[in-house]
Amino acid sequence: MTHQTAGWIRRRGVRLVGILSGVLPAVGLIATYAAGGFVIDPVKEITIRTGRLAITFLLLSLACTPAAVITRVGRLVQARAPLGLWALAFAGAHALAFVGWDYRFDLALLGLDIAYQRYVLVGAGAFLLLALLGVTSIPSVRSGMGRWWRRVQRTVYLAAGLAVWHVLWVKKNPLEAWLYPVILIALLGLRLPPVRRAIARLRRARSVEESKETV
Amino acid sequence: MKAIRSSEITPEGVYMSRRRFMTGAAKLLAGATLLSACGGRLGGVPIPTDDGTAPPVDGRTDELGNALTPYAAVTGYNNFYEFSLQKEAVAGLAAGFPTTDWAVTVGGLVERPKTFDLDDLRAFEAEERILRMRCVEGWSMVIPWTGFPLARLLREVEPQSSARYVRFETALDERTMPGLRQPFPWPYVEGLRLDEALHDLTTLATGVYGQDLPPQNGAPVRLVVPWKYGVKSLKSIVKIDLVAEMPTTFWMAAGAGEYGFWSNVNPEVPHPRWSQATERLIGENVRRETLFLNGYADEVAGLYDNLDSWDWYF
Repeated sequence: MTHQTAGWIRRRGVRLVGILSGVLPAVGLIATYAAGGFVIDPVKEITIRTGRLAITFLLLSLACTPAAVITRVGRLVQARAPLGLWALAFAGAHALAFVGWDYRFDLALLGLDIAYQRYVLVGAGAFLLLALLGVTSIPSVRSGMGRWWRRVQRTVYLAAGLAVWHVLWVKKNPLEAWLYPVILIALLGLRLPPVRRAIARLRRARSVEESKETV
Repeated sequence: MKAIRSSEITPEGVYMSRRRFMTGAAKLLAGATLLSACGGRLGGVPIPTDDGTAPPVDGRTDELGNALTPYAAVTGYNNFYEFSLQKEAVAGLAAGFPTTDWAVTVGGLVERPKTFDLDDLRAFEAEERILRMRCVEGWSMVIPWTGFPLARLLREVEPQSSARYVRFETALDERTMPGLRQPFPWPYVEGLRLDEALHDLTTLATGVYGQDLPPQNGAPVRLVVPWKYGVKSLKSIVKIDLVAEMPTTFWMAAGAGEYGFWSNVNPEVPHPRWSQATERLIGENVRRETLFLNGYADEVAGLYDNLDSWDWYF
């Protein structure tokens, strides 16, 4: 490996991994469907699996910053945006499977259900917020937003909260349903100032130990 | 409307040989959780069956003209929490469930308590009944059961005049039911008011598609109450008691206030977390409007006074 390639990977590698990360699950899902893997209830299978991927990628995206803080590998934050965009893509597929495949865009049928389908409304809220974040991540839009961009990006926490709530309401398996809020709360907890200070203290203590050992 | 092609349905020979394979595998691996990965896989190479029977597929319909749900879906998509919460995993996990040495103990407020073994159950003249099944989760099937009215069995034990409800219990076997490790108020208990239990549509099924019930469908004997949500149609029954008080069902105990005793199908009364107005017909992949009392209103509406009261649908 040349020196230049190594440098490029150091600068761009994390972002590239983020960009490519969603390809494998997406291809896997399509290939399983094409191979006849979901014979009995493909609508349910595709809907659940795309939804699960969406929330997983959203939580992975939110994990980038705490991971960078803890590991002190700052470039991990480069994966945040591509992982978030994959979350949006899977959430879009999830919403499309629900409206277009399950309900065949039959708004009369959807209308019968939607008022009582509270988890759908919460999920739709999460999806619209992710769509907003996706649109504002377009460079030209972003540069026109100035200080507002950061404020808008913060709604990702609201989107994650709604997504987690959506799963809690829809899920039959309580163990899986509670897994997501627990992870989300843990990720948010890592951002609290006292927790961040504690992590910093721990790290200082350890680096002191290490320096003693090397001496 | 795209129906599943008959070529996509697993012939029974393949299905049965897989069951035998998985029974053997279960013994070898002694790890039921490993099997969940295999459960519910359909498709595969058509292999001639041992006894030459063809997969039971035909063009029959229920009285409303709904085509039968394919055998592969009926036997591969099951809510049977004693094995798994994953509907597609149940068939694989239940494959080794022993159902040959079976007894249904019928007692409580009856004149002639009796334990029915399989021969006793076979002695009831069975007939085929094509009935709609509406799951509370929002999907449905059209299933050709083989069975007989529960009323015949109940008349044999002679309910006492003080009996007002019937309480049913599913088998509980920790050795063969890996799902029992999940935190639910086992055993699975269901109940009917006595007049509901005596209604001709209330069926004790011992077979499906003209064959013995496979374990995932509730072998060797299960209840089918077609105008109520599927949770009422409990599987693999070991105990039936006639009682004076309304029994607390599994879902009344487990469902965090979301399920009541009656559970009669009504598209206008939503579940606390979702609508019941529509349903997806499994096998056809078509969503359609749910029918009041699952289309059996003419037969069973007389059981209930004041049908407008939402109490009947909780």
